[in-house]
Order: sequence, then C-alpha cells, then structure tokens
Amino acid sequence: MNGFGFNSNGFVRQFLDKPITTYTHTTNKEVVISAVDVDTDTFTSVAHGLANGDRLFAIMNYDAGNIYPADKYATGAITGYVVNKTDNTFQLSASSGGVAQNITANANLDLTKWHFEKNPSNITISNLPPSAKYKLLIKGRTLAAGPAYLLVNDITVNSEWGITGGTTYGVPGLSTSGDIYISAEILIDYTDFLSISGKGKTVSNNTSSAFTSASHDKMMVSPKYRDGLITAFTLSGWYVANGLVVEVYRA
Amino acid sequence: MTNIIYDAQTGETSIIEVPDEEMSIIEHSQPTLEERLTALETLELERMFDV
Repeated sequence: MNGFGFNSNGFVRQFLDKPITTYTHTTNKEVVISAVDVDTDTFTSVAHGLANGDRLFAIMNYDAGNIYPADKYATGAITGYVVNKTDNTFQLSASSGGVAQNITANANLDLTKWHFEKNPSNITISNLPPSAKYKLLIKGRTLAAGPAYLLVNDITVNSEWGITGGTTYGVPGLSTSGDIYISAEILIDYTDFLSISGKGKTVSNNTSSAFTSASHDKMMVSPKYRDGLITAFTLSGWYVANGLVVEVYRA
Repeated sequence: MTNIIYDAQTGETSIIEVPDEEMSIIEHSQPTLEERLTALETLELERMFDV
C-alpha cells in the first residue's frame, strides 16, 4: 500500500515505494544439457521430457558467476524447436519440424554456463485496478535480445498506430539487437495520448565483452489523442527466464 | 504455445496451453464510469501535490 509524506518543499507527496503486485516467473521447464555432439548436432539430456515442436531458449546460468552469452551454442542461434527427440537426446531446428541446426564446436558450448528453458508465449498481468498510468519494473535474469513486446489489452487499438497492426506495441528500447536485457523500466501513460517509454540495462552477448553494459532509453507516443484506463499488461514471454520479476506500480 | 495469466488481485497464476495458430484472447471488463472518475481524480490529486 502506498503512503504519504512530505517532500523537501513541505508538500504532501505520495510514496510509490511498494508495488501493487509482484509477479515472479518460475514456470519454465528447465533442461540441462549433459553433452553436445557436434558431429550429429545432438544434445543429450537424460529423461528430458520434451516433445518435438517444443521451443527452447538458451539461458545463461547466473550460478556460474557470469553474465554469459546466451546465443552462441550454435552459430547464430539462441532458440530452436525440438526435432528428432528420443528419451535422452534431441536436436533443434529453426522451425517446427524443420531441419536440425548445425552445431559448431566453439567455446560457448561450455555446458556449465547455460541451459535451455521452455518459455511461455505471453505473460499477462491481469485484473489490475483501472489506472491511466502504470510503471513496470522488470528485473531479469534474462530479458534476451530481440523484440520484447508489450501488449496493452485494455485499449481499443487502431492499426494506424499499432506497430504490428494489432494490439502489439514494441517496447521502446527493448529491441536492441545483440544485447541481453537484465533490467527494464517501462512507463505507460494513457492520458491525452498513449505513451510508452522504456529504458533498460543490457549486457553484451559477446564473449569478448561479457561484462560490458549499456543503457537504452526511448519513448513512443500514439499519433492520435487517446485517453483510457489500463487493467492488464501482456509481456512477450519468449525471452523470459525463470527468476524474472515484474513489479507493477501506480505511476 | 503457453500463456501465463497472473491475477494481480488474487496472486493466482494460470497456465493456458493453446495451439500455435491460436492466440488466446483475454477478456477484460471495461472500467465503469465511476472507476474512470476515481482514477482521474487520483491523477489530479497527484498532479496537485507532486511538485
């Protein structure tokens, strides 16, 4: 519950130090790889329980003490669909039911540094008290590179200002290619115009600069007057690892 | 695909499995006029005191 106090000028000011709600993501299935055969492009994980068509993402192991690149287990790949699975092995393909990816021998196949997770498609924070403004603090273990989308389900959307022609809005600053997001702050303001601003902290996914970090800060504003209340957010779950925390604040 | 629905008020998490070609549509009731007014009044109060 928020409180009230006085700022340096003696005015009453509302504290926003406690979130309305906090979601911690823990539902990903985790798959630890015990061996990689680069000759047959096969991963081994005893009794993995996966099905062909399952989509996996390589997720770094924080327990290993490193912010480690998540996209280098195979050339250019961070994700893949399970194909040709047996009880203890599987291959990955760029498409469901497609040809197995070629795995090349490289230092990033160090199996102590990463594992696979089967991620959800979407994560929706629902049933929020209606409000024109919300702030999200996303504290990632991994918000990996790529299009991290935010859907605001509560609004009527015209394709003229929806990035994908629907209800999907790219979160500004969260689509920088090649980096891995470890935290992000998103402010949604639905007064007068719908504006979504985001800033995030990334680390490079390059092994040679694993600890290099960068900040990103962008804003997107709808081109037409809008006014409304927000009751739910949907985050793309493709890149969300177990341990991710989403805190929702009134803004 | 798997969709996670987290209820902010109950803290309950639901996992919904849907075929890849389908997107789950999440229904949200529209805020009432009273809720809109309350929210706008809250904003006005914040603007008055937030210097």
